[in-house]
Amino acid sequence: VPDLDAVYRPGDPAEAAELLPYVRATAAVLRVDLSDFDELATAGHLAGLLRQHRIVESAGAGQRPDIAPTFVP
Amino acid sequence: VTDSLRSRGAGDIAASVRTGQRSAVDVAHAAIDAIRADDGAINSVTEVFAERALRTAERVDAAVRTGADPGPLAGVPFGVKDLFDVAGVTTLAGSAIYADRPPAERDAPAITALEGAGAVLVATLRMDEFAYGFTTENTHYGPTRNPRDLARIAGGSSGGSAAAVAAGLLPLTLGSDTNGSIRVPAALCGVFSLKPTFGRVSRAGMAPFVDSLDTIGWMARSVGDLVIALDVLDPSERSAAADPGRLRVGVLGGYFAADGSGAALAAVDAAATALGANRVIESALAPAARSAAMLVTAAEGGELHLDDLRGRGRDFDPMTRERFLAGALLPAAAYLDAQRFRAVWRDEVARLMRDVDVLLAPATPFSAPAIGERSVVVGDREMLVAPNLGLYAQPLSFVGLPVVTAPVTRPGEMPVGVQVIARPRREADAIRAAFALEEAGVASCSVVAVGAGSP
Repeated sequence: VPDLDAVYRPGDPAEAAELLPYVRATAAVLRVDLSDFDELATAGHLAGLLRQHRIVESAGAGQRPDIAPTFVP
Repeated sequence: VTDSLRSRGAGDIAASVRTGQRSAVDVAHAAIDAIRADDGAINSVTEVFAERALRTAERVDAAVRTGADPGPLAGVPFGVKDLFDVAGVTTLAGSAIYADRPPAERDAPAITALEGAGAVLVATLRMDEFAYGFTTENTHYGPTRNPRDLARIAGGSSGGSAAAVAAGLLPLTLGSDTNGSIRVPAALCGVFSLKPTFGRVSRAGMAPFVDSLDTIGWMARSVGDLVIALDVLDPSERSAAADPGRLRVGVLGGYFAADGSGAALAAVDAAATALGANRVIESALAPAARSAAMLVTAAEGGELHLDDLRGRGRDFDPMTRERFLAGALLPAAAYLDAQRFRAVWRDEVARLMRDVDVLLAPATPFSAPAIGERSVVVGDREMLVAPNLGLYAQPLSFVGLPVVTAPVTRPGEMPVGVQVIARPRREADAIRAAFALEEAGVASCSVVAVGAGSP
């Protein structure tokens, strides 16, 4: 079972720390003042989201259907 | 008068008002009095509109006196989650940031529709900030307490909507569901709810959270009351007129049967037995559907609030602040892959439901935890509360399926909920199954006493 909890918690501090340069650079590009935020917690949440992305990538590998005009089956 | 009304459902109240047995003004007074007496114990209400409610109720009574049809919800008091526009009132969406905004110029169409059917808007209701949460532990406005145990959460993000119904303050409330925000609080507070098919009921006048997923939903204490509201909010299809054929019922297994508490899984078993479910359906793609829902939610929510993240970061609830920012920083590739996966999951769900009309799954993996509790132990596994409350709800809303939440109440224990899931625009099938669960005594909702004014 994938670690679906990760998106909500700071996660592995080392993993979050690796993302800090990205968080700082991207926040600067978006003109977000990081002094209002907990950088490490933000990086931790982002790490969790990127983990979800890997789950999606892995499940959807080889399946790239056209995006249909409606999203309900 | 107050006590006898608080346990009555919307249909009962409307019937008594329509026949002149009771006045809409008396009913409105009773609802306002109940909120003033008891909401302090649960904190489900944001603002009460006493003057407006009594004015609306007088119009309903005038219609009854003149022999005009006051509508199927005549005199029924209702509340709306704090993200619906109410004319003359600032829509807070559970935030402090929106408090500076001007008042709404007009009511949300869903409110107009309900009042057009004779219902009486009484209050706005508490929620997680910007609907980004499953617990309604709102730092700005305080936690909403579960009427069935005041030490426990009501669930979220439509926590006020669920708590008000369970406590008998209001018989009908509107909320919204993006990832489970109707279904989770309904299950934890032990009330019925309906999240209709994505796109079936207009979201106009509702503060957005995630455009790709947001859906209006509502809560009540019986399936019949859910149906009355559906027929008012989408009069294009009469839900009660569903075909009477036998429903083919399946149970979602695999992902939807893992990690749940014994109570959550036993509730599904009881519902499956009552409905004669004869197949278990699994998909290996379900975890990825939930992951994709998280990505879409974070990216769209972060983008929506980017301006405020830039200038007012400190004014966000600490429960949402860094999560919104992380979403705003998410690479576009992650969002696009998630949206692309939505089509894959949509096709998978269509395949799963090819031979069934209704699927059953737990609404949440566990019953309501204590306020402030970060994790619970389920079996031998410690699970974080906030992220896991949507475990079974998110994959279903990700493709917009309609779901009735049927509350299963156990003596001396907190309630759990069963998701009764139908195909898109086949709310009628979920409703029929939920009716059957109600008739069999598997699902039920009663008013619980929370204060001195309680029944």
